[in-house]
Order: sequence, then structure tokens, then C-alpha cells
Amino acid sequence: MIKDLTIRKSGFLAILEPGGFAEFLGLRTPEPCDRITGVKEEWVEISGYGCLYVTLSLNFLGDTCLRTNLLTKRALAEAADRDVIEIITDNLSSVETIPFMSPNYSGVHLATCQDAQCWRIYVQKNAATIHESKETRDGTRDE
Amino acid sequence: MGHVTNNSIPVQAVETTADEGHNILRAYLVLGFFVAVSLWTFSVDTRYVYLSAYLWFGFIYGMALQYGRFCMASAIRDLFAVGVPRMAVGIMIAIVLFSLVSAYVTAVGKSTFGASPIGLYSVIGGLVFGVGMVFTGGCASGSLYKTGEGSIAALLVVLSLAFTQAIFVDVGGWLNHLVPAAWTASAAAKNLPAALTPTDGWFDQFTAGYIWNLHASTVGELIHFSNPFAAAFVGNALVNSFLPAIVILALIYVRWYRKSYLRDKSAVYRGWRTELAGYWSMITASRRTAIAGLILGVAAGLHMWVMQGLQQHFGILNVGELLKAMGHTSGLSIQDTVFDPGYFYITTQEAQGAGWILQKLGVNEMSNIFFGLDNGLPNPILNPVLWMSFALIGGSAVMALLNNEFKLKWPSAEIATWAVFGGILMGLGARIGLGCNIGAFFATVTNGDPSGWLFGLGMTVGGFIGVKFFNWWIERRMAKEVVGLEL
Repeated sequence: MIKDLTIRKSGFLAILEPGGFAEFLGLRTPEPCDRITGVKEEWVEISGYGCLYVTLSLNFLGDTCLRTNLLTKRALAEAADRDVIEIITDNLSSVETIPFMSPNYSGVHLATCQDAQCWRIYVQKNAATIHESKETRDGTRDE
Repeated sequence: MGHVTNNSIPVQAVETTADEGHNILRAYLVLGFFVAVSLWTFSVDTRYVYLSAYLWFGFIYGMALQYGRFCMASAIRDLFAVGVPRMAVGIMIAIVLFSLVSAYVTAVGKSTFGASPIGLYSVIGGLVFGVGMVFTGGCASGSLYKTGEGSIAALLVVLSLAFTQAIFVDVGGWLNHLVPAAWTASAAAKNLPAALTPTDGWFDQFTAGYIWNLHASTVGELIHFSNPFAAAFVGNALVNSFLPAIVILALIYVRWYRKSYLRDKSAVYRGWRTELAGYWSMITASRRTAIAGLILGVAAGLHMWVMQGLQQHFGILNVGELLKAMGHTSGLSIQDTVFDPGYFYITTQEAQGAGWILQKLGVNEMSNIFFGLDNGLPNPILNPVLWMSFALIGGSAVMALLNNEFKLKWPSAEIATWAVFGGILMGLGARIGLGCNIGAFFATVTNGDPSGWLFGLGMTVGGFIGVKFFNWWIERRMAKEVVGLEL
């Protein structure tokens, strides 16, 4: 099963695109044109958590921190329990903020991995059982 | 898979590439450039050490800002958008530490700080600036350090706010119709030199007809302490910085942290002990931010001390005197001064850089009060405070390179549009508020000047408006554009 999430780029300049002004006025339903978010279903090995199944991968490369954080918040709100979300970003402010914001939206920050060109942040929705078992094992908390 | 404990957040290095070695080499090249500039200029004339002092403090600021991802836009935005107090806490830590170092520097007579007038303009300027910085994704200092990380969008913000200021302080025309008659009359009555046109231009009349009529004072002066240590430590640091910071932290704790802390806390609730533990937990939640706040606070205080020491050593009150003595008279104001705050400051030097370019293009930028009377338009390679900005970018670049976090990022048209538009608002806000998040807030509240809190209030409200607008914008787009969201 491949889930797909395709989002059109937004912004003032989108108004200048064909049909953009009509969309801006709400007279036309926009069509997806620019895939900024893809979904890959794959297993990743995360230190301390073992192999986890990534349900949704959000690619925010080049995006601002506010947009990255708000869309992550939205994805967490709509994710099912125990879904693992991978957030790919090159915004350092978001790399720092997402682990702290995750608990506010029923997410548990699992790990942040630094890649050559970006960071991959793994967050799981309502993963209390896993988180508690890790804390018990390590005797520490992330924060 | 290598595992690196970085801050309180575990960061795992997935790949190591040959770029890491290159990045270290690049970091040393950037560092070497600034060392070479300092050594070479010192060998030409030892008085260039004054400019180098700005340079190296800028370098330290850049490293600390990048290390802590220290951004005031992030502080306000993260609170209102996603309920994360990390950065707001870091800023309060920096304020407390900077205020203590500043108090000592002030008490021993080594402060270079001058209070700003107290007035509604601070709130309005802060509000406009706050909206702009949320749109751009970075405050003035944040945009500089992000430029060092390779963000071209951040560079666009810096350029946009610089040219906006340079144009805004000089433009007259239809803007003159927005000036109250009382400002015009008051500006005309100041009998300024004929080279200036104080009754032509909104900003000139705002400055001479309104700002100069306001009262400026630190809390230490307002309380009339006779002992300089009491004035500095009790009036400036305790009353104007420490207590407000403690109260703000308490508000943040109650509103944004307490609930999640108590929910996660496995131990039994023990009243105020648990609350204090929660308060402390919030402060230490992000060691990276706290450490950056500590370094910034201490460095900013030492900066004032060093600059005052150099001024006393050279027997000057302003670097313009030094430049004149060195034979560099071009670009000095009619008072033979150039912008020389003697402490951490952003925006005015960028405006000078843009103004210098406009001047070279044939615009007479020296007829206004901002450049012609106060700040001058020195060549950028002789502008000491601009050295600080360049070095801030360099320091940030070095830190980013050493941590493999440097990446040249070209913005999309959308992000570039937000950067330029937000930068315009930041430029307007910075001039109306007589500074940015650093000059009109951080350096101000920590030196006992209550006007800084007025700017901070406006900046917070502006940030809130910006977040609400952006949230509405994204939600509106998402509601229409998300296709097939089947989680």
C-alpha cells in the first residue's frame, strides 16, 4: 500500500501561475503540480528503538522553519496512533524545535539523524509505551 | 551508524563524507581570512585594532548565534505557533547574564551605552518589525547568522532591510504629508546646519520634531541612586532586566510548559517543589540554547568594556575621530562622527552600507539627519560596525562548517518573496523603533533602558499577528491543496 501526499507550493507568486489568481480568490480548485512531500514506506533502524516502520515521509528541504513546523504539527494531528513520521529538513531551527514541539501534539521524538545534506527527524504518534520503556531502560529522559 | 550526543537531542550521524574534511579546511580558511585582515590592518596602522575589536566580537556573536540557533523570530514564533518555549527561555537567560555584566561595566564607568527616548514609537516600530521577522523566518541577527549558514534567503532579508532603511530615512515627497505639523515646526526650530533638510522627509521630522523631544533615561537614573553600583545592579540589572525576565519565564512556564511537565512527571506532585523543579526543567530543557545565551550575554557585556577601554586609550568619543586622524575623512558626518555604538548592534550598519551604495549611484544620502548628522556614510571597508556584521556572518559560517551544517541554499520564488517583503517591514520597523531586536531590545533592556521592553512588547504583538496570518495562510492553502491525505 503506497500512501501519497501531494501538496502544491503556496505563496504570493502562486497567484501569478496559470489559474493562480482564481485559486487565490477561491474560484477554482487547485491541482497538485509540485510534489514537495513524498511517502516512502520503509523500515528504518533507530538507535534505542530498533527497526521502525516509517508511515509518512515529509520533505521540507528549502522551506522556512515556520512552514516546516506548522505542517509537521498538522501531520501529527492527522496521523494515526503509532504512525512513524519522518521529517526531512535542512532548516536548523526546525531541527531544534520539532523534538520540543512533538509532545504538544501527541508525538514522541525518536531520533534526529544528520545526513550529508539534511536532517531526518523521526517522530511517532502516541508512542507512550515505547517511550516509557526506553526511559526505564536508560534511566534518563530526553529533556 | 555513529551516534553523537548533541545537546539534549540525540543526533545520529548517518553518513560521513569527504565533505567533512573539506568543511574543516573551509572553516580554517574563513577564520584565516579574518585573522589576516586583523594582522594586516594592524601592521598598516595600530589604530585599526579598534575596528578589529568589533570584528572579533562579531565573530563570537556569529558562532554563538549559530550554535544556539539563536533567533528572536523563533522565540516568538515557536511560542505562538507550536507552543515551544526553548528560544524564549534562551533569550531570557542571555538577558539576565548580559544585564549583570553590563551592570558591572556601567558601575566602573566603562559603559558605552546611551538610553533611548521612551515613547509609543518603540511599540509601533517593534510591531512592524515583529510582523516582518515572522514573514522572513529570522530576526536581524538571525538573518545574519543564517546567511553564514549559506541561506541566500537570509541574505535577501539583510539586503532588503538595509536598502529599505537607507531609502526610508531619506525619502520625502508624499510622505511629508503624513507628518504632523507639530513635528515640522519642532524640527524647523532646532536650527540644524544648512547642509541638512530637517523639514523635508518623514524620518527627519520624526527624529528632530518628535524623538529629540522625548526623555531618555535608565531605571538606575530614574530611581536616583547616588551609588553607581546600586544604580547599575539594583536599578538597571535587577529592576529592569532580572525581575522582568523572571516574571516572563514564569508566565511562559504557566502558559506553555507546566501542563506538559506535570503530565509527563512520574513523581508525586509536591506543591511548590514540583513547580520549581518544572521551572528549572524548562530553563535547562535545551542546553544548546542556554549555553548560547550564556556566551552571548557575557560577550555582549565584555564588548562594551573593551570598546570603552579602547576609546579611553585613543582619547576619543567616536571612531570618526580616529578615522579622521588616520586620514579617512570621506563619509564622516558633519559632526565628524560615524556610527559607533560600542556594543552589539545590527541594522544601522547595514543601512550605512546600502546608503553608501545609493550615494555612489548619485542619491544625496547625506542631506538627512540619520546619515548626514549622526551616522555618516563611511566606505564599508572602513566601517567598524559593518566589520562586526561581516565577522558575524563569518563566525556563523565557521561554526556551521565545523558541524557540517553549512549548505548553500537558494530560495524558491515563494520564499524569496517572503524574504524581501518581510525585510521591508523589518527595515521600516527598525527605523521607527530606532533599532532592531538587538539594538532596540536586547542591548537596551539589559542596560536598564525601559524603552527596550516597549519595543519587545510591540515585537511580541507583531510576531503574534505574523504567526496568526501565516497560520491562516498555510491552513487556507492546505485545506484546498492537500490531495489524498490518507494516513
